[in-house]
Amino acid sequence: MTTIFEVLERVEEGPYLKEWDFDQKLFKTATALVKDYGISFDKERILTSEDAMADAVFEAGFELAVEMGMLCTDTERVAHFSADELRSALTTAPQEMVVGQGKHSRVLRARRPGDGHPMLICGGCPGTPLPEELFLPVAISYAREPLIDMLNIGTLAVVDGMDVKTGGPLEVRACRQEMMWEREALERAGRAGMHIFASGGSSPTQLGTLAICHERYMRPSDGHMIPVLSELKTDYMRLTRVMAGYEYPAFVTSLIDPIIGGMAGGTEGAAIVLAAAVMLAIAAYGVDMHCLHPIHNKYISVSTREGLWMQNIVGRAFGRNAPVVCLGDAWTTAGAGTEDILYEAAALAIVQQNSTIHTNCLGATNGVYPNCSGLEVRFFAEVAHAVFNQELSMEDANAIVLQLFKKYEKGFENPNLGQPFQEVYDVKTVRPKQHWLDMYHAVKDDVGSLGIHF
Amino acid sequence: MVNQTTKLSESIFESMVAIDQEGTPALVSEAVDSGEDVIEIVDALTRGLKVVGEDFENLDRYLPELITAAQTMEASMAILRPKLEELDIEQGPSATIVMAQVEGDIHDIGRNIVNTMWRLAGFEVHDLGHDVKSSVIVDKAEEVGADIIGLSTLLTTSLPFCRDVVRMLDARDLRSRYKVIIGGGATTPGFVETIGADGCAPDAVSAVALVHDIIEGG
Repeated sequence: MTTIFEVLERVEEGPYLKEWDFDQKLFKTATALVKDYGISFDKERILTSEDAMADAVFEAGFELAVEMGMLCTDTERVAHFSADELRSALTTAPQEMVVGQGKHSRVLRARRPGDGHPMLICGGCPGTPLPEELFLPVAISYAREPLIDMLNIGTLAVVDGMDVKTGGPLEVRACRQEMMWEREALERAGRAGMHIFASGGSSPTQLGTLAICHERYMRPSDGHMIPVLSELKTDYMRLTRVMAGYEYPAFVTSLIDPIIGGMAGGTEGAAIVLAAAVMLAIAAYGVDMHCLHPIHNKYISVSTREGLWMQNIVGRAFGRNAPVVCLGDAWTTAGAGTEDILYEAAALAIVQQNSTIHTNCLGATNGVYPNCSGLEVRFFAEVAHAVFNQELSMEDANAIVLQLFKKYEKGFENPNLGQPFQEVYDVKTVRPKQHWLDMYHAVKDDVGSLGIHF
Repeated sequence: MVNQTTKLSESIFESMVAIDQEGTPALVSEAVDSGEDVIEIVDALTRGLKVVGEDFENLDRYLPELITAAQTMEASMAILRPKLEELDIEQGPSATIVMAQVEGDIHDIGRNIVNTMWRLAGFEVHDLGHDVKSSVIVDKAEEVGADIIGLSTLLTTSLPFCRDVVRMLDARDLRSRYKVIIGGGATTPGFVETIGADGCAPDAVSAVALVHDIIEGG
């Protein structure tokens, strides 16, 4: 297993390569691997139990990781990892960990196909800019949902009326305040020990990590997140975050956002680059878990056919070949207060439960607008639990997901952004308003009629 | 001669659709040497690029191909430019844009896609890269005589730097000279209105339409 110090040496001494040359090499290599391994995406088969395809994605991803390594954009040098080093990283990566504290802790494990373990569900609105006055009520709305196992609230965009700027002094204050409010929300919901995932989300820089590495903010039972830059890249800022967390025993997750149609090519190329990035994140960052977040080049959302297929096939690829803990982001185009978001949530829940991943969070409106609430996560969790309990087969699950696409895909072109939190929830009682509850019940009945047994 | 011209233009069109980075400029040279209608050559190139752009939207072509197509177009236009000047028919770019990823943001991909689409549409783009200070953006706009300042950010916490650019233009009494447009994952129409910018686009295709709207609106 490589150490962070060896990685730092490699980003200083590794082979020099201009970023555009790295990108072109990636495109050519990924395109050839997709062809060589016969990897193909079928728009009608989002959930597939084809073991050979999952294995091909794993092997192609492994070859890609060995061939490409990880480019440091600050030094324009490539940190390469040998096949033996990557195998060692995959072998020694944690497969099971207890996150959170006391009776609110959960066992977060690497799932395998058919292992009989359900996914864990993280509630929240990651990346969503929240105004100060709504941060706590929004957090409480998630913390109160009984089916969530972990918490990850959005970004505190304003502190004391002042904008939080990237790299500015308020990043420190915002991250600390975010953690204090998340803890308060959990305490008020009687779930003080619950794991907080991706702590310090109000800061995209190393300042956030440095600011919260203290038990008053991020406990050792919580976790923080370090992105792999798209595609297969890192920089000093990301590596500084690794170093900032090096001596602090909280959990660390990678965040991997391959772009479908981007530098790795189409859906299949993006899938193998996602697999390669997981392997490189273990080797370079030493992370405990991974957050998979495919981005559609036009619609962004994970709820596209392409994004859901990628989460399924990459999840199965690792579940079968080298189990590591993976969570999938569940970002939707639509926002709270709409039927669309509930249908998107249902599709995401079905796919993620039937894949070998857990879920991070339901990110309404792709994390752009604060049009989010606990109720859509309740629905997501209810669908996920139903799918698990009724042991829905891959074929039946796929058929239901195709029906759900018909209900929400039209919204990709003209998204129904819905309503902000204060219009779908009573902010004082932190309870959903009647019109939002009525919509939830109507869609739940409809999804039930498609074959989900609540 | 008419048939031959049509055939060569068709080859240029097909070569551009195939994104033949060496073959397309070679065909353009051949067509120029043969004395063929320069406007027809430009039209063939433009039609070819349009197909590439549509393929990208439909996930039939990918970002590296889109960038290569833009480079191929630039190489071809470099061959045509003397002829266009000679004939006094080159009208120059319909808009000059200074584009930057604002301070604190290092996410290049979305901005690169927009830059490429703008260049394909015939706009002159001066890209300053990522993590660019507001003063550098304004200075560059002044230097090149830009019509439009494009600001991109994926990060909520870099949105305030977009506001800083508008404020700097105000402070330097330059606001009326430029249209300021914003894009990237963190941007919303409400934010654009709040800071007094002139428009925003949710994706690259909309960014092209937005610039056209600004030009046509004067």
